[in-house]
Amino acid sequence: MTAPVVRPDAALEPLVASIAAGDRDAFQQLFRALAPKVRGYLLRLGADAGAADEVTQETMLTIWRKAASYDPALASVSTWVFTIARNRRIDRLRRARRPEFDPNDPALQPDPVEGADVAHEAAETGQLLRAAIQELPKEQLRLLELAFFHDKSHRAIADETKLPLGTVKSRIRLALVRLRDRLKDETR
Amino acid sequence: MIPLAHLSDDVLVDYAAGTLPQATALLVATHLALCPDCREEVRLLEEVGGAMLAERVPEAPADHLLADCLALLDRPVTVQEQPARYCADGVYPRPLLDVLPADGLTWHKRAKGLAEIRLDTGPGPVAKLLKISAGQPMPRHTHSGREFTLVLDGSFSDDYGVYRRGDVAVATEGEIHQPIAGAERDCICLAVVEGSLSLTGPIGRVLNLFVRF
Ligand SMILES: [Zn+2]
Repeated sequence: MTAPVVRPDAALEPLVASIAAGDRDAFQQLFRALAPKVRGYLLRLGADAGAADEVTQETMLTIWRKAASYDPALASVSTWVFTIARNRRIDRLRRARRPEFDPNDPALQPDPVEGADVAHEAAETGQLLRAAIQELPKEQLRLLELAFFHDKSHRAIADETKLPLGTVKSRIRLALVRLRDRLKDETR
Repeated sequence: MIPLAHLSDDVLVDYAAGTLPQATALLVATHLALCPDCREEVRLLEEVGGAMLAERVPEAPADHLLADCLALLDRPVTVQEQPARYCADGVYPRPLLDVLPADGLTWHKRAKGLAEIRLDTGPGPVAKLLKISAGQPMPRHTHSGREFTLVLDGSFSDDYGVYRRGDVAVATEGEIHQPIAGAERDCICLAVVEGSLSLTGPIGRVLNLFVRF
């Protein structure tokens, strides 16, 4: 198999739009771009090769079925795919649906009305974040990665790294503050 | 009304990463339904997850996986999504309704002024709905793990302040506390305990028989 082309995220959006219209070529392109990443994510979380393949397949099939519901204003394509892979993995582990809020729930407390200047294209946010993540101090990046890509809560990370729980929390918080500040600077 | 007492960063990170036990994830999802601020935070955290996914070292699957997928694209979907169920009086947001019985709530009396419904969240920490009579103190207790209490209706107060709909009180390991329901009406909350709970004091020892987390 040839090395997958790493695409800037915004370039993936038209692919998802084509997939929503039933375009199988677009699906193959998105598969080549993202299935290896999804599989890498699952392997990193400790799945064996068989389970990783299975959940990767389920993730890609979910993308095919739900492409029409993808909203570029809410999440970049990588983020959307990350949430699908995360949820498929949880489904498989627990055989239960991941609890999530429903945007159509009448009991939902609605978002405050935002000014047009605050609205920010999600794909762009994704790009900015990716750049900002690369600039994080190594230690912060490592803890953030542990939080996202190991099946470990903050407490388990503290046990594993032998760092006090408070230190893990404050370093991860520091990393998030940094990322948030970068986004604010860039969007201002 | 926007909640004043939120979930901390580390809980939201674990929720976005998908590493929380199901009971705790249920509580977070319920808070998110009631809190635009934390929803926005989780959206950002999921973008962090997406950005990290994009940076992952690719692990190419075997060539046949794509062919397998393509062969399955036109297969009709067998699992139908459950139709959404919403709460008529708006007390219980959707994530909770999904684990509540459809044919009405049966409250089990646990002690004077305290009734509960245990929710099905699989193995691990336990999630319960609690109904505390107006003005009634909850039994004094402590726990070996974190305890989260999210107000759905009415209010309660503890040493830190007053909690209303959407607010979450987090008690850390070993902390002894005794929330008191507001006098205005019965207080309904969602409680999750990660670890075992024990009641303290002479009344507590008796109540331990009733309130088993
Ligand atoms: Zn909140």
